[in-house]
Amino acid sequence: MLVIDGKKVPFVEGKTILEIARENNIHIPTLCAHERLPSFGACRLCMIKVHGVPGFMNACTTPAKDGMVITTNNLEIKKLRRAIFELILSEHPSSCMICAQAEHCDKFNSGIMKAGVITGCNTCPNKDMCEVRAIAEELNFKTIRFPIFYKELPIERNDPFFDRDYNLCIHCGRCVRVCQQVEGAHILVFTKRGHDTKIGTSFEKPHIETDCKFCGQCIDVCPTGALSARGQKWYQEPDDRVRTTCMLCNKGCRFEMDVKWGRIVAVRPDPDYKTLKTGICVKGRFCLPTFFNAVDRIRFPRFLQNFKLYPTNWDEIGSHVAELLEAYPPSKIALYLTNFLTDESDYVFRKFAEMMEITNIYTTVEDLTQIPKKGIKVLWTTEGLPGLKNFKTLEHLIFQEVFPSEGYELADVVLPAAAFTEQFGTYYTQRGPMPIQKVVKAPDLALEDWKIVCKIAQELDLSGLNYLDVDEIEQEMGRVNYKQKVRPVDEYYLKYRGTPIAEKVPDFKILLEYRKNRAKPW
Amino acid sequence: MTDFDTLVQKAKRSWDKLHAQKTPVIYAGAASCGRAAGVLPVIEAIKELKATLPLEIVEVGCIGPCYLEPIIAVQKKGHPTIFYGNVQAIQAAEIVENYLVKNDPQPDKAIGALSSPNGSETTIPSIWDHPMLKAQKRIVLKNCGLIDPQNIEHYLANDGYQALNKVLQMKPETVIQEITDSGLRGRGGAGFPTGLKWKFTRAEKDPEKYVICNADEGDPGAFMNRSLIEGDPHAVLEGLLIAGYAISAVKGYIYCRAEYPLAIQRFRKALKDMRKFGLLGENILGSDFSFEIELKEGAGAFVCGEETALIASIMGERGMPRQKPPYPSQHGVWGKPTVINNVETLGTVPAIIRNGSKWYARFGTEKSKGTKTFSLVGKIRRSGLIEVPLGTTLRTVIYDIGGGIYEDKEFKAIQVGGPSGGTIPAAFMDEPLDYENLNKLGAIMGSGGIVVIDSDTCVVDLARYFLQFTENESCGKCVPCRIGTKQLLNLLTKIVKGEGTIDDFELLEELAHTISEGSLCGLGKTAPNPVITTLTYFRDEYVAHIVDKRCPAKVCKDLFVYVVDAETCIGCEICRKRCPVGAVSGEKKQPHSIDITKCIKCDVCFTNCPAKAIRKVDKVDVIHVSH
Amino acid sequence: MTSDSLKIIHHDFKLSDNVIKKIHKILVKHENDPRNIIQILQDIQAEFHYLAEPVISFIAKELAISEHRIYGVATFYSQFKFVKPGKHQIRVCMGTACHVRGAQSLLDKICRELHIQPGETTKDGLFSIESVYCLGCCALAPVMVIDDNVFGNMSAAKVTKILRKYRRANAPRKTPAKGGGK
Repeated sequence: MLVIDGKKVPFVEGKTILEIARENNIHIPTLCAHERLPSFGACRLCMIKVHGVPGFMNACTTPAKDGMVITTNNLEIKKLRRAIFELILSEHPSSCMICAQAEHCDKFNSGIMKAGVITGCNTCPNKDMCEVRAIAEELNFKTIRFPIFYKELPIERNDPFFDRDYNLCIHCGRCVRVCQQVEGAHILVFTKRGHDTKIGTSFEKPHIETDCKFCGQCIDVCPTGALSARGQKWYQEPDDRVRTTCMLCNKGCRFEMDVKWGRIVAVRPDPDYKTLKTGICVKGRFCLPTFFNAVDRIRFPRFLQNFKLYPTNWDEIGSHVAELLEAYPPSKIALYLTNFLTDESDYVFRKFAEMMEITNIYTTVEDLTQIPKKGIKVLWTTEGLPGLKNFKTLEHLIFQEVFPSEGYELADVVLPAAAFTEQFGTYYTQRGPMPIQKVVKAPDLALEDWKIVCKIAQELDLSGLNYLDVDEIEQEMGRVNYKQKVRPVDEYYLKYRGTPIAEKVPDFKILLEYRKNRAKPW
Repeated sequence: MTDFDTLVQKAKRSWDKLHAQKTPVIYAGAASCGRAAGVLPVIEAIKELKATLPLEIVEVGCIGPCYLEPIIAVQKKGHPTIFYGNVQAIQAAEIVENYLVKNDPQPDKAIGALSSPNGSETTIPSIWDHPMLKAQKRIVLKNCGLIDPQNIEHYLANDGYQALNKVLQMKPETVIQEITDSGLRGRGGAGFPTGLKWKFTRAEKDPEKYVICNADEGDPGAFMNRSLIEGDPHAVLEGLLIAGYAISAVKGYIYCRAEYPLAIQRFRKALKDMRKFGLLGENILGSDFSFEIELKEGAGAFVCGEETALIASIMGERGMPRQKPPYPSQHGVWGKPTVINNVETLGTVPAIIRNGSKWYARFGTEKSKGTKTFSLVGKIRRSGLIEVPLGTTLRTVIYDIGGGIYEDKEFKAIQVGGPSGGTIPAAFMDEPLDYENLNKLGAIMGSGGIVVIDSDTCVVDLARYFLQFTENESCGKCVPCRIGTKQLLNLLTKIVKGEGTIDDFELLEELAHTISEGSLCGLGKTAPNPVITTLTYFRDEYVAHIVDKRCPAKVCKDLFVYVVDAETCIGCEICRKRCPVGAVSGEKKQPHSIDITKCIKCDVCFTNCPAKAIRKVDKVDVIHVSH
Repeated sequence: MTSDSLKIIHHDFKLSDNVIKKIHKILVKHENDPRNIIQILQDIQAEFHYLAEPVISFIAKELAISEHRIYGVATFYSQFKFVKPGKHQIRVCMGTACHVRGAQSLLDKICRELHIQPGETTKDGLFSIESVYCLGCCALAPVMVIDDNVFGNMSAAKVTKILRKYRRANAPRKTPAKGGGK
């Protein structure tokens, strides 16, 4: 048993004083400690007094011993803590934290201002989420008696995806520790020594030249705005945080996504899942928001009339497609099912095909070579149509996609599909069946793939395809014992459905181009 | 008779032969200090004599009085061995010839003699009666300056490895008890009881244990460890072996700073010879004890003298200390229980084992047993390396041994313990030199560097100098040290420039307190000590700098100007000619004057003026700027 | 720490076969063990006089460790240089004993004579200068070291004399007059 600030708490073997304090809701301020990372003991804010031991000890590294009596907050400690924090602030652009007008200013400055140089919170991407600021508020810090020192380090902006402004760095070492832990990448290290210490890479190389995987773990653990992802920098506190599973490949990593103003602005590993430790890849972390927020998403159903694709509504397009399908025998109709369909959408498509007696179900590009051989006249594709020139027999192309990808020019029916972040469902991955959560609304009239099939099925008067939600489909799949499979999409696959990710995400294009001669791009 | 006894006998025969041989022997002090003083050209000059005069040259370590380097000792059969000091290459040959051929020992040039058995007498006093050596008690420095450090037989002939031989017949626990009873405390600075450290490490369950010799002597002004390694490396290595045996370690490391290339050379040769003589490797001296020693060089980081940083460095990492607990005795190199001891601590171990703990405990004080080496440097007449029993007063060290202040200037204070230590004013000269007392006075023993300062040294500048050092050497991990020492240095720089304000007193004290309480390791914790002690004992100098904008010692360049005293100036033009920026003007035989707007305060005119006509005047007293 | 900019990528350092052979020899000497990285870097610097970026990248690959880790370790220690030093390296001791005996003035004098600052190399590549802390020859303060030669009891006048000697030794030899020589 330990006594902390007069409160009795149970002793747990092998834990540090900080861990035990936190487990018992006793607050000790820290900046360099992080629950996922080995303790470092550098910021010296967690100093506490262990009775019977001269001087102070720091809570984050000291192993707790049974019978310890600890004070975390007497006058002496408070003074020391404030003095140490004052030193931290003297080297961190802190003008807003100690400004007399801060409260007044906050009332009228709702966000942050873009500036070339960050001099205070109002120009910092981390303004509302900064741990240094949180401690300044906790300690009610208002004066710095020392000369302020601005390191005048060049702001590092020449890498894709994230910026580094080490003028804000407080040397907590979290980024270094996390980079060591995530598959020992060891890209960010402490360089030089003493007051000149800087976090960085070998010879200050840009990250793109190194083996950096752009996993973004460093940004997650940075307590200040020193490391910031360009895509999410300016949004401050999100409106919502939703967790889902990634569908950009078959690994089944779990994400937590930040939503602001109805759009995904940031992605990080789900804090309650093991991918927190192994990390997530650059596609999910950095490319996903930019990709799905690109302006040329397909939003409305369209059909070809007078050489133009006119937008319409689901009722009209539904009957149009139904007519089209009825006009041809099933042997001349083919479905091209993308590997990026949720399990439910895939099931519904196949059930539909069965009901319509359509046997030509293609899942790979090789399969598409059957089109001219079998004289397919109607292709309902969910992944564009790669290799356009070979399909002379095609008379109609039903284009159910997220973007106007390859083949869009040949489409005479366009059906706007929802991305995986815009629907509920399941995806069978290497980690087993994983739940897909709806994070944001699909743009305008875009619908889940299975819903689109159901709409068409309704027009065709097919029964048994009028599901209300995915739970219904799931239950049915369970009843008929539908065997799900892991789709052959590996982690280095560079497209989502028919669209190369690099096409919508310029930074990703830069990354792939730069690393094209490497065995693996990340 | 064991193999060891045979080895010793052979060594003794060699040694005796060397000291009784017909061919004269010249012993030249060729450690780093001797070399810096120019002993190598002296040796070359003496070598040239060999063409006409048969003689042998043996390079030995430093016997202590570095101010007398280069030192040579001339051994002539049937005569006393005469020591000569401050020998220059031009006179070397003459001195040697005078004694060996003309039988003239040149008492005026000699610094001491060693009588030989059955040899003739001499009026030259014994070298051990030399005022610098007389009050010393040389236990760990016993062999330095007398033996060839590169010849293991010299060590063996002088009780070398007797302790190891004895220890191999003892139980490790008994060895630890002996060291504990002797009261030996870590000589590297912390003063932790050595026996206790060995005991804790031995008690750890993990069988894979290590010993490390900390030879990263980084304190500027301290060279005790260097001299010991360069003069008698085997003493340290024997101690390391004994430590390894006592805790049943599997391997030993020596971490020696790269700035000591000669010491590293000496270690390497010694290790090679040990292996040849069966003193290292498998089954040492035929016993069950096997041990390996690996030498690792430092790479230029003072902080690596701190034990956890040293361990990190050995493991190929940045030398950044980590928080203790856990201590190295539980979790050290490679995560295993480790004993780290200073060079001097280990060098003392063989003597303790040979003579017994009671013998050692006779020297020193109640809580600080034994002897300690100190480097005595600065404004002292007799600078060099000494070893005295702990508890010896500062007065004995400064006046009896050190000969008082250089050029008879006013004795101001001593800086003891290097940049982690403190400044102790001359008023405390009757205080004994031991761990407790120095702590009480606000300083620390540290590794034992004593720098003597006189009234020409500004203590504020000295404190700033030390802060500059610690700030430079800070590893940068923890906030109080990384940012605190920088801010403290800035504050002191501001003060020596004359820009200090009255608020700075409080700020200095508070900042010093924050750094010493908040820092992670010893470097940070002790970095403010020079500031704290000088503020305590020399507050008036701070007041002068901050309030009066004066530097009483005339050291802080922004607070004084150079002025020619027209009445004393003889117009010799030396200052005008030597001035690198042309700030001095004047005609021959006319009083010169200095343009203070051009003057860069290089001190050349001041030091070269034959009439001592140049004065350093407080800037605040100079009202007009003369054109 | 020296003031050199560490943004230099050493394009002028070529990893020739000869150079690679030398590096391999050093790696083998230290058992290709990344835990001996400091010793490896010391031998590399002794061989090539500084640590060039291509060498660090190469060693990282051979030892299968991150080049950034190596760089992080190397930049911690004062011994390692990342810029090619002068032919003769001057080190002025700034230890306590030397300090009270005028080491700063000595350093200033040398800098003035050579027109460079500590951490820099002269334009002709002959000298580079740096200040170091305590060479352990405190009784002979102030002390200056050029390569392996220690000069104690230094003064401003001695500086000029010593530097002149080095300059003379490095002066280009005069070519013999044409025609009429043997």
